[in-house]
Amino acid sequence: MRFVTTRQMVALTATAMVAGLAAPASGVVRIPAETGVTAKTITLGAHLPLTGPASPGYKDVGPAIKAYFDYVNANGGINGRSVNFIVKDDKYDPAQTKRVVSSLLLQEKVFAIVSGLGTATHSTVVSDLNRRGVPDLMVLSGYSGFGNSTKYPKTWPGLPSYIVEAKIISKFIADTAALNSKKACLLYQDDDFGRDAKKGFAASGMTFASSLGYNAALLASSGVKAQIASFAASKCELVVVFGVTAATANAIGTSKALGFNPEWIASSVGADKKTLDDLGVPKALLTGVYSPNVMPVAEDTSDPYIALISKILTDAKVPVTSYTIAGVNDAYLVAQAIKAAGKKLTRVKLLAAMKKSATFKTAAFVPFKGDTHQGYTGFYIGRYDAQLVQRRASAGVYETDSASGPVTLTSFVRPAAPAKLIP
Amino acid sequence: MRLVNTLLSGLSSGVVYGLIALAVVFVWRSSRAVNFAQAGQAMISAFIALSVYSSTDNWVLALVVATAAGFLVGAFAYVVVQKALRSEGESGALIASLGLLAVLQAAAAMIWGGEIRAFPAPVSTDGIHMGDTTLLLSRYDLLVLAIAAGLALLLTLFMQRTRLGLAMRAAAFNGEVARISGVRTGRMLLLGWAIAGAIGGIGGVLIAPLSFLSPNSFDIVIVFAFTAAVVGGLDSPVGAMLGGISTGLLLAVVTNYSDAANAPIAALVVLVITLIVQPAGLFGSRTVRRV
Amino acid sequence: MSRIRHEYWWRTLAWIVGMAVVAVAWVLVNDRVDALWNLRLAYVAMYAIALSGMVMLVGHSGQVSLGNGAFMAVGGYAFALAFMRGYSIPVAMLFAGVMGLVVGGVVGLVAARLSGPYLAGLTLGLAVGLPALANRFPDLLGGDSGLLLDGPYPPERFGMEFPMERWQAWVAGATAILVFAVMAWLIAAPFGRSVRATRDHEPAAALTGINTAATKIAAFAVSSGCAALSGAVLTQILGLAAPGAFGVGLSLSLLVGVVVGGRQRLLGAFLGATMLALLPELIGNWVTARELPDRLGLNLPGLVYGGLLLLTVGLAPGGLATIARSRRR
Repeated sequence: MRFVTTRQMVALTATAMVAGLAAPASGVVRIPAETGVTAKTITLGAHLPLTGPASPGYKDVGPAIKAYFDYVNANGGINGRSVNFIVKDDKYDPAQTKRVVSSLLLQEKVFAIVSGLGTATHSTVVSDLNRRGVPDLMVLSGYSGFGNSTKYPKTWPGLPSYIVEAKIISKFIADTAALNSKKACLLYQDDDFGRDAKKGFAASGMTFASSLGYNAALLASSGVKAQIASFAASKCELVVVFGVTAATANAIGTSKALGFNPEWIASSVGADKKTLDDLGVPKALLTGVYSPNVMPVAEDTSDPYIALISKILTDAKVPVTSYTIAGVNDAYLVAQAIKAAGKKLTRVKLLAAMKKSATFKTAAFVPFKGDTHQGYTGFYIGRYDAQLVQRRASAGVYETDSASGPVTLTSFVRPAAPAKLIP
Repeated sequence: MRLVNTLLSGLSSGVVYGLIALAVVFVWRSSRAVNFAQAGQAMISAFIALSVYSSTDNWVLALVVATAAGFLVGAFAYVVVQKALRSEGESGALIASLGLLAVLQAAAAMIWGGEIRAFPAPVSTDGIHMGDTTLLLSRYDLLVLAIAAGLALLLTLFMQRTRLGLAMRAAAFNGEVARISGVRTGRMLLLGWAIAGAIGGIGGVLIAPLSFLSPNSFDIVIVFAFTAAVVGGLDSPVGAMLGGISTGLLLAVVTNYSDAANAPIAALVVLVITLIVQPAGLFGSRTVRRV
Repeated sequence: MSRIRHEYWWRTLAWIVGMAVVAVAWVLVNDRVDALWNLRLAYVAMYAIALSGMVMLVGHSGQVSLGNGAFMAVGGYAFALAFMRGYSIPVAMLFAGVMGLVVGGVVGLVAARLSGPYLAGLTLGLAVGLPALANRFPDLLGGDSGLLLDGPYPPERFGMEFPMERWQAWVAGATAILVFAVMAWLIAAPFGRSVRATRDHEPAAALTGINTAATKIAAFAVSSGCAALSGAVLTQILGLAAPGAFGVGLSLSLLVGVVVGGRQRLLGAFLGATMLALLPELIGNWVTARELPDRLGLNLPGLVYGGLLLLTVGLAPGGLATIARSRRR
């Protein structure tokens, strides 16, 4: 009852030993070229949710960044090299993220990871990337932990932190007469993303009459109907949603069904109007929704940066949404860093270049604090009008930190836009 | 009031679990096998309905097309699983139905894409106003209830009172004996699976507007529907419906009063208790099998 | 009497030598290949451990379980919890294995009474419900993000250049060899005969004095122990124990692996494991080479798995292992 006979066992082992000894030993010392860089190409990788509960809206970020790098390549590349940008789907599942990033490092042998998306997802790979010395740039998550330069010296966040966002929302509510008397409730994603926001609200002293979490993995099947029903029963007058776009969509949609009509403030990562529209939220319900933003809006074609970004996206047939605009802007920053690192491109030199990124050009209304790894540290609050164009609702653009510092109006002036969006 | 609203919110999804449980029961009664691809078939029907509804704006047409599609997919499922059923019996059919589920989900994702999307409801999903309170029951929920009740009734009558129904049950219970009595067993099994597919298709179209639709959004529905079928009794259509409704109500209570994440655990607990205490289910036949 | 004993000792010695030889070969091969291949081999070993348990449960005991992914989760989390508290790898893995046995035994108490669809439904419910517990106790179990491990790193004496993947392949391989040896022994031993007798005709088996209920429960426990060890290995490879790693898809993959590989023989477990570890990547590379659109490419593995399952059940119910065998005749 053995599973192989003795003879087979010997044959199998002998073959394995011969194969093992015949293959070149990996102990030979070779001077390694920098991983992911050749004379003509640079390979970058990203993990993004192309399918799954977070895919609405976010799945376009990959094609957007690819479109940007194709544009750069068409305009001569960076220091004579063209950029090869590889996207792998992690379905917004932390276990999958681990596998695809392993694959990007070992199989595609990427030079750097650019715009990995998600808090829980990226958390599984951030330590490993730092340990291996792989640049981890413009992480598409507002989790404040990714801005910790001591713990993650090779990581830069690509979005303002949720703590910053929560503090600015709190200040806006406190400063706005129409809102500060209303009973406020919070819907948050029940992982580090939402918990980070709660930290921010606590830091600014804002309290909610009711705070309910939802589970991202169950979003597609259960939605957030139960939580909204609870808010309706508690007679909330203002609901803040800190979740992915699908959660915002379901929250607003369900509230209509319940005849529940609060004011809405949706986090910047969950409020893109095109995505909400695609998910079936009627235009009438989106009117009046507040949302923080750090970029100019897609409709603002008089803004020189938007004009450049829109053209790149529309030429490549990628939707122009707040997410894709942010994605392209972040990729533009990375391109500037790669250029600044010079022709003899190594990971170490790229990291050094990122430290000086505060001087780079950006479409955002706040500077990118590359030296401290804080990234963007501000927002303005916008509000959708009847045509669903986001109009400025706050007095200006606010800035704050991820700790207990005050919220102040920024004095930053954006550097003049270039003629072409290349480094 | 909160309890009433909670129960009402669970009613319509419970009714849909009941419908899919009904399909499971139908297959069980007609071929003594469980088709795990049921929810996948419902999902495909829902996608087909969405395509029809988006292009024609006619929900009734979409429902009819989806039902027909469900019928065909059900027949296809039987043909595919048939060989396994014959050579390996129950376990082979079970494994084959899982293979079919994987194929259906992959095919749906290939055709329509893997993202989640919204399925618009044909009538208002706003809660009905009673005085100054709003019930968590909408016109759409009432529509779902009406369709489901009608369907369950129709099926019970079909199985109990018609010759075709009798022939189907005979073919399921003992194919050899039925064949001798002149029943075309192969054809009966095919019909059973096709009808189950149609029922599942209707269920899929009805549940889709209640949250999001994607190739995987019905995964959890399989578990809930199966729990419903077992609780009600695998050979009782009425039991399936009642089992589905109770499952829906229980899940609504659990989601509302504790956490949405507890719902699958709650279903599991109910399943375990039922299987320990009364495996035949509340309405299933105990030892005597009445044909 | 003593001649049989002699034979028994010779066979045991042959087995130990065989295991040693395979172990040496495993180390040599892993030393020569790059980190990517180390990772692939680690996955093969990991799946093989789980599938050996499935061979016992589905093949020899005839209980079709859809929930072994849940038992893998038990082992994975048990390992993570022990490792995070400073216990060494062997101790943490032992803990995982024991937890698997215990949980499997408890589930077996209910499940072994059930047949066919009831068993399948219960185990499916388990596959869906058990990982959800991680959100029920987020402080202990880490919720959706799971428990992130710092390591396990290769021992320092191997130097800084020693790839983590190679160490993972070693641990996975060592565990697989041990588990296979134990399983082979169990299958050949009187226990295995009781299990098969119970599967083939339970009333007759009971008449010969076999405690059929205990046998079925034991089969459940053993298979769950294997799954738990496999889960512990997976947690080490990922450096993470999260619900997403142990979803329903994993349970279904295990079933595909054991059915297509061959559910009666441990060779089938090995073949199925190779398929599970390498096929998705092969398909992925084929898709990229042909530049297929994402929609087709991302979903092709699922389609292939489903198709393989249908083909195997319809045409070669014994799986790949039996095809190999019959060819030799």
